[in-house]
Amino acid sequence: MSDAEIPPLPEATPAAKPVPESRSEFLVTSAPHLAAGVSTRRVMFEVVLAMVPLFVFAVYMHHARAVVLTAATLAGCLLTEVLANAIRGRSQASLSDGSAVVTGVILAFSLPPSLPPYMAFIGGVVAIALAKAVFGGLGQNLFNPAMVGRAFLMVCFPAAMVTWAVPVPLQEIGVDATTMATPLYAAARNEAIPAMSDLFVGTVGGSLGETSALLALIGGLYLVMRRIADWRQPLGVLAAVAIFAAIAHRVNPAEYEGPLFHLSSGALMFGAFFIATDYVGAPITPRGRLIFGFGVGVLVMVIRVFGAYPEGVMFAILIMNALTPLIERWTTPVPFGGHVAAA
Amino acid sequence: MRKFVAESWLVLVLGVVFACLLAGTQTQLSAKIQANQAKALENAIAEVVPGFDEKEQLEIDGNRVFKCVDGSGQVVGWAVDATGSGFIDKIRLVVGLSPDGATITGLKVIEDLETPGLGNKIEGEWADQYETLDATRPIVRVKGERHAADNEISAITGATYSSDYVTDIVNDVTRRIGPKLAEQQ
Amino acid sequence: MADGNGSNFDQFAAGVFSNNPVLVQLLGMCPTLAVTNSVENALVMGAAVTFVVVMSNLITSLLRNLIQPHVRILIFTLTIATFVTIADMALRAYMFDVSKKLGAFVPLIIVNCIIICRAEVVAIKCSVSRSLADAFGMGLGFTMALTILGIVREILGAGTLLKQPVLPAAFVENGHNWVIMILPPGAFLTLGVVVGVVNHLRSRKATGGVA
Repeated sequence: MSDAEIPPLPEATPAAKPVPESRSEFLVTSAPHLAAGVSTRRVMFEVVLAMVPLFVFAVYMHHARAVVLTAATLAGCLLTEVLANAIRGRSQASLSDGSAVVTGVILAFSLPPSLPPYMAFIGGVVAIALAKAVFGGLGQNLFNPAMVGRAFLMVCFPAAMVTWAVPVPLQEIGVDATTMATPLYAAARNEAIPAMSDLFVGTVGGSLGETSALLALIGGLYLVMRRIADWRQPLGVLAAVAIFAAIAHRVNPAEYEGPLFHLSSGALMFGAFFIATDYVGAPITPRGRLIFGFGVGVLVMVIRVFGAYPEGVMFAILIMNALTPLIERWTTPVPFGGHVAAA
Repeated sequence: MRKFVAESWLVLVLGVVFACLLAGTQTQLSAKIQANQAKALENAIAEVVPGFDEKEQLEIDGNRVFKCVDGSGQVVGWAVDATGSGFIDKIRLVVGLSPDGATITGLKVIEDLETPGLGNKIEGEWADQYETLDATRPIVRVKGERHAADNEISAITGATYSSDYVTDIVNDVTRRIGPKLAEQQ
Repeated sequence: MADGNGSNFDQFAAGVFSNNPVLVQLLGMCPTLAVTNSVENALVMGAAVTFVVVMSNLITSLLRNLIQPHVRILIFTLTIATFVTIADMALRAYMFDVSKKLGAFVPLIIVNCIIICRAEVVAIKCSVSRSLADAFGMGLGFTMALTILGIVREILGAGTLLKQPVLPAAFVENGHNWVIMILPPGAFLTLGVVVGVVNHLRSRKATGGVA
């Protein structure tokens, strides 16, 4: 749910997303169009609100690091937004819509807590500059900016991006190390995984703000109930992961963890509700959104089970972003009376 | 015929002139090029088999093998020139083995096109961990910390595949050629 | 394009700046993207291309009144292939390590469109001095562009410049180097930024420094 343009009424008029002339073939619209009382700024405010519990939890887990890292990505995102507007001779109005803030927070939540803050800053700069500004700003970008920023850091600083600090509360109860394996990494190597309750609440090693499936679920359900986020993408993601994990677990329980583990671990719950629901990168048709979510879920599991990386939410979202135009073409509703041959 | 000659004589003349030019350059430089290539191999052998005075080239099971002897004619080690597939293109390396062929005395990668900054770390110090490993059983690649006693080497972070390919080549050498070395002494 | 007009020096300068083969014409992208992960590679590749373009322009220009129009491409290719092979052998003889790193990209200079483009656009029509001025300009412009990319990528990616450390050793040891810069995506990103800056400067020049 990051980086949206003027938000559509999620159910009734999915075509409220502004589409430039050149891409008007993707415009799916049906009358009547109602003016919704929602602005980009309000949507972004609600999204940030839904992420507050996650941030509080991140501070509990990682103390000052959580604040510093979030501040660093936010600084990178907002400064780049200002700079991009200035270079293009635009007003700074896009700053106040809050989309850069949402990108910055999502990026920060997806990073290892021990990442040096300047790398987080670079990630924020790349997210806005490379994924948003060069495409023409909010609404024009193909890929989710936060995930592009994270992918850049992943390739650029591979060592720092796979080093996971032990959360402070765990240090206090006597985990005697400075770094630890994440539950997904442990599972990939068939090592001991934490208790399911710890995994669900989030008191395990992992990314800054993604470990708590519980809080992500609460925030996500809030957004769905407020009609800010569409329920279709999260449902598609969760269903695909649950089905895939259940089958794999049934085939070889010793090798593959079950659905509950996969649903509560890594960035899955956060990604399903906060990243896959991004207005810009996901299809605008209702059926398309369900397919998009399902595709993300399947890819996450393919990467987790068969891939070299233990976690695949980032790549899954980016790949499905690339497929979005195709999904929209498949799922465009046929007008009443059938298609008319183009003149 | 006359039209043909009128239009193409320049191509023919240039062809002959350029061919002579290339032949001349080749004659001038080929010795030096070959010396360069041989030197890369020489240096690698000197690195993987310490302290030999002379070496003799043999061929065992399709691989070039260098029998390294000291001044008194005693075999001090073997260097096997081996090539196998890598992540991007073929990897060529030299494996040093003890006189009985049972211990690895060194490993040096001499040609590879692995990813710069990641996979091409196989060219550097990383390869030193093969030293002293047991050549009579397969080497196992692990992620993270290794236990030399279990014949393990630790993969390069972010380049597990390159690490695997090198290990495969080494295991192939020790399996095929290692046992045949003792009888060659 | 400054072809045919102005002095020989203008022709030379055009190749370096206003008509730079890489940064303005966007030709020769294959070596530009593939071998600029260090300054040394960039300089050697630039020198090899300069040698080939100079020899190709020289021969083409000398023979320009003898070349039949419909076999000209054949003659260009023959000339270029010959001098690329010579350059390749020379590198393997005298700069063995660098030539190993450049790998197939030296033989691939044969298909570098900058060279055949200069033969076709300039050398076949112009005097020897003009053709040489053009070839040196293009060669220098190409080398300069590659070196700019090489400097950015080597410093950020490896913390060195011409293999001499320019950033503290801890930069690489602690994993602060930008690995992406040594990989192909780093070439695209750097080229994009550099071309963007060049376009920005050119548009300012075109509008008299207003924009």
